[in-house]
Amino acid sequence: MKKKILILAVIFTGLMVASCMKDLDVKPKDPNTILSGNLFDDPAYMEQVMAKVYASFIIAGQGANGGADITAPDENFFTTMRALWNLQELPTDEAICAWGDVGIADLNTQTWSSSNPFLTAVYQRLGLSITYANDFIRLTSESTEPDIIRYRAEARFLRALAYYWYLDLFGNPPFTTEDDIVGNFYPSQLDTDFQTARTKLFNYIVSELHSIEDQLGEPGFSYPNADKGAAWMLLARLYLNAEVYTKTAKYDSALIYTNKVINSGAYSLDPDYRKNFSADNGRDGGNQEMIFAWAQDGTNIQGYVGTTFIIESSSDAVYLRAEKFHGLTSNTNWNGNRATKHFLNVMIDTLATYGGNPVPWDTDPFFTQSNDKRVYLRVKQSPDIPSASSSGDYGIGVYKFTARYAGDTVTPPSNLAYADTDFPIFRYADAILMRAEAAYRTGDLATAVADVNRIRERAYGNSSGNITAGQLDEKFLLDERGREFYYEGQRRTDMIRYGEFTGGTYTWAWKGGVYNGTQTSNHLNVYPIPSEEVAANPNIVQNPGY
Amino acid sequence: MNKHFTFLKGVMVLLLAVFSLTAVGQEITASGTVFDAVDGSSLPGVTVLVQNTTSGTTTDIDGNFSIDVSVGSVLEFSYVGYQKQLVTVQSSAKIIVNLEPAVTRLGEVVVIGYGQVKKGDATGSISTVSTKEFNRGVITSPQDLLVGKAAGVVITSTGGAPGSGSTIRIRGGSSLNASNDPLIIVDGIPIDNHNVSGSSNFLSFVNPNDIESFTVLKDASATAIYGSRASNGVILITTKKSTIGSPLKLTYNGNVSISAPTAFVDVYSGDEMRKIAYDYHDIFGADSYLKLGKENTDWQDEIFRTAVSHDHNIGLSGSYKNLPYRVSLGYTDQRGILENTDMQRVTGAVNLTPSFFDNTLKVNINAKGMNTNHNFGDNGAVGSSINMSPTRPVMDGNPNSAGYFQWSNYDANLGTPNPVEQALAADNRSVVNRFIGNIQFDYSMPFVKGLKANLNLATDFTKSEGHNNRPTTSPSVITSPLWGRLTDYTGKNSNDLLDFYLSYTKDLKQIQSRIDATAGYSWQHFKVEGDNYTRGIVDDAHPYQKTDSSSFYNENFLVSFFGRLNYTFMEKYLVTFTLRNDGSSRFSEDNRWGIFPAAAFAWKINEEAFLKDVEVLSDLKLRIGWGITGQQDVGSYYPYMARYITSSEGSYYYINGHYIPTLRPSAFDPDIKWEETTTQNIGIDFGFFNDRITGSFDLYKRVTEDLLNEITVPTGSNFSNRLLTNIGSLENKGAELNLNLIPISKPDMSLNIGFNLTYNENKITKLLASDDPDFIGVLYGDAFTGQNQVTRVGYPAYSFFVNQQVYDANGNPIEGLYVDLSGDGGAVGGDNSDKYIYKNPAPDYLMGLSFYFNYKNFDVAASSRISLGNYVYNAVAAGASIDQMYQIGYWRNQTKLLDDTRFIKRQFTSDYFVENGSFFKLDNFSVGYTFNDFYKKLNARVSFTVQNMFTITKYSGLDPEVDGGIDNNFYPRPRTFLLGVSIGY
Repeated sequence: MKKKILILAVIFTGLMVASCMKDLDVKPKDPNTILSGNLFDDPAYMEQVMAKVYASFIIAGQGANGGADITAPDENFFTTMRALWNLQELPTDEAICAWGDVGIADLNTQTWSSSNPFLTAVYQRLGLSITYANDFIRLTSESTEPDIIRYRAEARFLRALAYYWYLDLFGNPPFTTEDDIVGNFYPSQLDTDFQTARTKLFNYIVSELHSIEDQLGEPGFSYPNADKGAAWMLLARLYLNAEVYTKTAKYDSALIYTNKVINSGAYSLDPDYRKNFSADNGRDGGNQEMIFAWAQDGTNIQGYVGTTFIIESSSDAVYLRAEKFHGLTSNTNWNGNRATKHFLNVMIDTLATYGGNPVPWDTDPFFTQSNDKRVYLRVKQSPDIPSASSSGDYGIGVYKFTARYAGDTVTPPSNLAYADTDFPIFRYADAILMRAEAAYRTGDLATAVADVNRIRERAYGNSSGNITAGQLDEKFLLDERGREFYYEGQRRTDMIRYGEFTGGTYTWAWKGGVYNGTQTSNHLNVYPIPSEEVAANPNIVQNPGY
Repeated sequence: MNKHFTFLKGVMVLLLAVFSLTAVGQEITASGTVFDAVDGSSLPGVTVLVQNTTSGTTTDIDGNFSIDVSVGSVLEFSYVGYQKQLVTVQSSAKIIVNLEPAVTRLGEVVVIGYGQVKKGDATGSISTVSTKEFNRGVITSPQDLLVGKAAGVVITSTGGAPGSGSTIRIRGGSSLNASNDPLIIVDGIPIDNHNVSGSSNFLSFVNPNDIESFTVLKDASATAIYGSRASNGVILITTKKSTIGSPLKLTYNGNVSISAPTAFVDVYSGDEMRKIAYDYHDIFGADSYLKLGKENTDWQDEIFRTAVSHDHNIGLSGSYKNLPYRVSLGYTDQRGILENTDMQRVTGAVNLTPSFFDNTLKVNINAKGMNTNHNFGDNGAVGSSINMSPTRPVMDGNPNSAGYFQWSNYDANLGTPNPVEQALAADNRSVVNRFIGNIQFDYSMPFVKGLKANLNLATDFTKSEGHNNRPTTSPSVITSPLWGRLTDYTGKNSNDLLDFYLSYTKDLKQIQSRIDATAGYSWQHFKVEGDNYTRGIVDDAHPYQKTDSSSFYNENFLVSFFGRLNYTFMEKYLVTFTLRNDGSSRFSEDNRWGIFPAAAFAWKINEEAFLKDVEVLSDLKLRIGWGITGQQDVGSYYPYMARYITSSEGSYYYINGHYIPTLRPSAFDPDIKWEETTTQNIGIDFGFFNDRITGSFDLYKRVTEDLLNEITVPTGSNFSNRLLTNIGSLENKGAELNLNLIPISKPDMSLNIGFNLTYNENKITKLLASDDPDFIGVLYGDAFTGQNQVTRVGYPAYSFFVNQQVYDANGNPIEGLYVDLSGDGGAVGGDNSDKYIYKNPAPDYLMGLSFYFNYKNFDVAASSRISLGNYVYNAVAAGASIDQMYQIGYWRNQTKLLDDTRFIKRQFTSDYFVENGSFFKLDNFSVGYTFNDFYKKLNARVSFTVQNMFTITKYSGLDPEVDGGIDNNFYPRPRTFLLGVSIGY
C-alpha cells in the first residue's frame, strides 16, 4: 500500500515538474506589448510601426506607457527637432538663448565641444529614426499590398531625410541599412576619410530618393506624410548644397527638381504668410503652401517640442506674453530665444524704411513702419545683448510661430499648453527661392529675379518690395532666405553654403564669444561626432579639427 | 483493532473526566515520548520530574516514559544539552515532547537553506542574530533590528518618512546594474523585494516582535543552494513558534515615541538674501529688487514638526491539546516629521505547528496578514522649502491659491511652489493589503530511517490602491497643462512557491562518519501588475480630461533542481557539496539554465587531540569555501525578446487622415544572461575562556563575471541609445572580523560587548568586449549637472570623476579654474579629458560596536556604527551659486555652504565638492528596568530609548550616509525618543 503511494507520488511529481518547465517560456501578457512575431496578426499594427518612424522626429516617446525613446536628462529638451533647431539657429545671427543649461551657451558662441548634450541628442535620435526605418523596411520587404508598398517608400524617404540631416550636421555618421540586424555590433562609417565618406553618403541619399520617387503618393496627396513633393524638395535641397557636401556643384539638378515641384500645380503661395506658422498651418483656410511637415496636435501629438518649443521659448512675461500673443496659458513664457540686432538689419532694410534716421525701437518696438509683412519681431528692453549670458529680456523677440489661427486674436487654441501648429520642413516658398538661387548660380538672372519678386510680392502684398536684376547678388539671396525662413531651422545650412557661418566677413553679436562677433575656424562648419559615441564605438573616426 | 483500542480509551477518559469533576487531583498515568526537536530522533535518559513533588522518572531507550501523576500537575523535562520544557498534564492522552538543544553558541540551531544545522557544524560563513541581540527602540520594520549587528551587513534607511524601507547590502554589492539586494526568505518563502505601488517597505508585513532570529548567509558555500538569486547573500528570517505542551504565554509590547528632525539644511535668511541682492545687484539686474519681499520666513521650520507615534503588539502562544499555536496582533500608528505624512498599520499572524502520526508528520502552518494605510504627503515640499525665497510670507490672502503666497504667472509657472501649500494640500494616500501564507509538511518516511520528505507550498499576495490628488488651487502640478490633478493607481503582486525536497541522514558508526544529504525541486512564479490613471481639470466648464493612463503586467518564473551533501568524519572534519540548476524565464532558451556548484570544508581544530585539553580554548574551527552563485534580477522581465510597445494617448501620430497610436520596438539583447559571482572564503571561528571571548575572522574574494550594466551602445546598433547587457567583470575582496566579549557574567550582573569590522575593496576588472586601455569608462550623471561619476577598469565602481580645483593663496577655491590635466588647452571645466578619478562612495572600513550591560533589574544597551573612507559628492552645495538665486523673475534660496565658495556660476565638476563622509553614529541607546512578578506572575519591563542619538562627522551636508555617493538630500533623518512597556510571563 505504501509502495503504491510512493510510486504514484513519483509519477505525479514527474508530471508536475514537466509542466512547470514550460512556464519558463513565458510571453508578455500586457496588451500594450506586442511580440515581433505577432506584428502581422493585425494590419493596423504595420501602420502603427510606420507611425513611429514619423513620430520619432518630433515627440519624445511613447508617453506614459513606454517613456522616452532615448535616455536623456530631460525628455523634451532632447527631441530631434528641438535639438536640431538649436544646432541650426543658435550659432547664427537669428537666435541666441539666455538659458544657463549646459551646452546652450556654447552653441550661442560657436565654442562647442564633442560632449555637448544637444549634438549628442540629435546624433543619437537621428540614428534611432534610421534604425526604426530600417526595421520597418525589413519587416515589409516581402509585402505586395499597395498601401504597405507606399508606407515602405515613405519609410525610405524618412530614412533619407535623417541621413540628409546627418550629412549636413555631422558629415560622416555610422551607416546602417535594413541589412544590418539589430543586436550587439559596431556600425561603421562609409569611409574613414571624411570627404570621401561625405560624398558617398550624398550619393546614397540621392539614389534612394530616385528609386522611391514613383512609389510615393502624388504631391499634396497625404500631407503631412511624405509624398512626391517632399521627395523632390529634398532632392532639390541636396543638389543646391552639393558643393558643400561633395565639393562638386550640381545646381542644374536642383533646377530640375524645383521645377517639378513648381510645375506640379499642387502648391501655391498663400497671400497670408503667417498661415504657415499658425494653428493647423492655415490649411483649413485654404493654405496650399505646405509640402512636408512634422504633425503636431494639442490633443494627440503633445510635448514641449517642435513649434510649441519655439513659441514658448521665444515668449516672456513682459514683452511677448504667450497668453496674449499666442493664446497659450499653461506653463508659458520660458524666455529663452531671441534674435540679435544684426539680424534686425537683415530683416528690415533700415535705410529704406527709416531713411537714414535711427531705428525708433523705443517708440515703434514692433517695427510697424516696415511694409514687409513677414516681420514678426519686437524689441525687448534693448536690441543690444550686453553679455553672452544676459537674460532673455534683452534682444529682439520673435513671435512668428503661434498657436492661434492666422488673423484670429480671439479664439483660444484647442490646448492651452501644446500647439496645433505643424513644424514646417518644406514649403512652396522654399521651392521658389531654391529655383531662384540655382538659376542665379547657373547664370539665368531673369528667372532668379522673377522668382525672388514672387516671394517679395507675397511678403509686401504689392510690388513695392520688388527688386531689379542689378540689386540681386549673393548677399541679397542669403538675406532673403533669412527673411523668409527665419526660425524654421535652416539658417546655418544657408550660411555655410554662402561661406558666412564661420570665417566670412559677416559677424554678429556674440559670434565666437565676442560682443560684435568675430571670425571663427572653418572646421566648425561640421559638428563633431559626440564623445560618447567615439567612446562606445571603436570603428568611429572623429571629424577633422576635433 | 487500533480504532477499537482508542475508542475504549476515550470512553475511559470520559468516565475519568466525569469523576474528576468531584474529585480534584485524580491520579492518572501520564505517558509519552521525548524527541530531539532538530533531527527528530528519540531521546533516552531524559529526566522527567513532577514539579513540587519528589517523584520522577527517566525516558527509556526509545524515549518513552510513563509516570503516575494527578491531573493538573506540571511535568518538567530536562536533559543535558537541551532546554528544559514544562508540560501540564490534562489527561492520559499521549504526551509528545520536542526538546530544543540548549542555547550554547555551538549547539545553537541555525537555519540554513532548506534545513537546519547546529552552529558548530556549519561549514559556511554565517552570522546569526537572535532576539537577545536585536536592537531596541522604535522598530517598525525588521531591518531596524539588524542594523550594525552582523559583520558585512550594511543597512541604510532610505529616508526619514514613516514606514520607509532600507537598502541592505551584504559584503558590498556584486552588481552594477542588476539588483544588489540580498535574497530574503521568511519562514521558507523567498520574498520578492519589488514594492507594489503604494507601499514603501516590502518587509513591513513581518511584525518585528514576531521575529525569532535572522541568519545571514554570506559566502557562496552557504548561499549556493539558492543558486540564481544568491549572489548578494541570503537573509533567512525565522518567526517565533510555539511547542507542544507549552503553557499559555501572553506578551504585550508597546511604545510611545516622539520624533523630531535632527538638523535642517542651513539656508540664507530673508535679511541675508536681501544683502546678497544688494551686493551682487549688477548680476541680477535692477528689476530684481521688485521681486524681493520683506519677510524672514523659515520655510523648513514651517513644514516639519515633532511627531508622536505609538505601536502595540500582543502575542499569545501556547498549545491546545497537541496543537501548538502562536497568534500575534500588532498595531502601529506612525506620524512623520514632515507635515501631512503618516502611516497606520495592522498586522496579524497565526502560526500552528501540529504533528501527526506519532510525530512523524510535522506540519507548519503560517498565515500573516497586513493592512496599511499610508499618507505619503508630498516629499517635494522639502526641496521647495530649501529653494523658496525667505523674503516671502506663508500666507498673503491670494484668492487663487487658498490664501497661500505663490509666485504669480509672470514667472512662467516655474517659480518655487509654496512649500506649506505643497505639503498640506497633497492628498496622497494608499491602502495596501498583504497576505502571506504557507503550509509546510515534514514527513519522516516510515520505512527508511533517517529519510524525510519536506513539501512547502506558499503564496504571497499584495493588493494596493491609492490616489495622489491635488486641488485646483495647487500650482505645483507644473508639468500638466491642466489645473489640479487626480491620479488613481492600483497594484497587485503575487508570488507563488512550491518547494519539495528529500533529506536523508545516516550515522555510519563503523567509519565514524555521518552523512546528511538533501535533494529537491523548487518552482516559483512572480506576477506584478498595475495601472495608473491621471486626470486634470481644464476649467469649471471642462471638469475632467484624461492626460495619462498606463498599465503594466509582468511575470517571471524560476524552476530549480538542487542538492546538498554534508559529510562529517570523526566529528572533526566536515565537508559540504552543493549543486543547483536554475532556469529563469527572463533569458532566452540558450541562456536560461545555469549551474551553481559549491564546496566547503571545515575542520574543528579544537576537537583534535593536541588541543582538546587546552582549557583556554573553547572553540577553534577552520572553514574554507568556494562557490558560484547567480543574479538574474535585471529589472526588465523580458529583456531578450523583440517586442513593440504601444504609445499612450497624447503620443499619437497622424497617418492617412487619422491619429493613431505608434508601435515602438524596444531595445533588447537577445544574448542577455545572468551575472555569475564566484566566491572564495576562508575563515576561522574561535572561542576562549569558555566562550567568554568568541568570534570569527573571514577573508573573502568575490569575482562577478558577465556583469550586467546599462551602457551607451553605438548609434545604429539597437533601438535606443542605452542597453542593458552583459559587459564586464567586478571584483570584491575583503576581510570580516566578528568579536563578542562577555567580560562580566554573574547572576546579577553581566556585560556583553559586540564588535564587527568589515574591510571591503571593490574594483572593476573588465568593461568591454574589447580591452581598450583608453576606454574612459561608463559615465554617470547628466548633461545638466555634469557627469561626475565613472566606472572604469582598475578602479572601484562609481568612482568620482572630477576636475582638480585650483585654490588661491588663502586656500579658497578660484571659480572655474582647474588644473589642465590633459595639457591640450581649451575649456578645462567639464571637459572629460581634464578630469581625474578622486575617491569613491564605498567605505573602506565599516564597524559596528554595541554593548549590553545589566545589573539586577536594570539594563543599558547601545549600538553604534563607524564608517571610514566613504566619500560623498555634496550635490546640494555643488548646485548652489549666486546666479541661481535670481531666476526668470523670482528669487530662489540656496544653501549657506555657498558662503564658502561664493561661486557666481555653478561648478558641478569641481573636486572641492567631494568630501570625506566618514562618520560615527550612535544609532540606539536604551535603558530599561524589569519588574519581576509585579502582578500575579507577570513580568514587566519599562525602557527608554533614543534612536539616531548623534552623528560625528566632518561632512558638511545633512547626513554623510548616502546611498550611491551623490547627496541630493534635503530630508532630515529624525531623532526619536521612545518610552516602551513590555509585559509578559
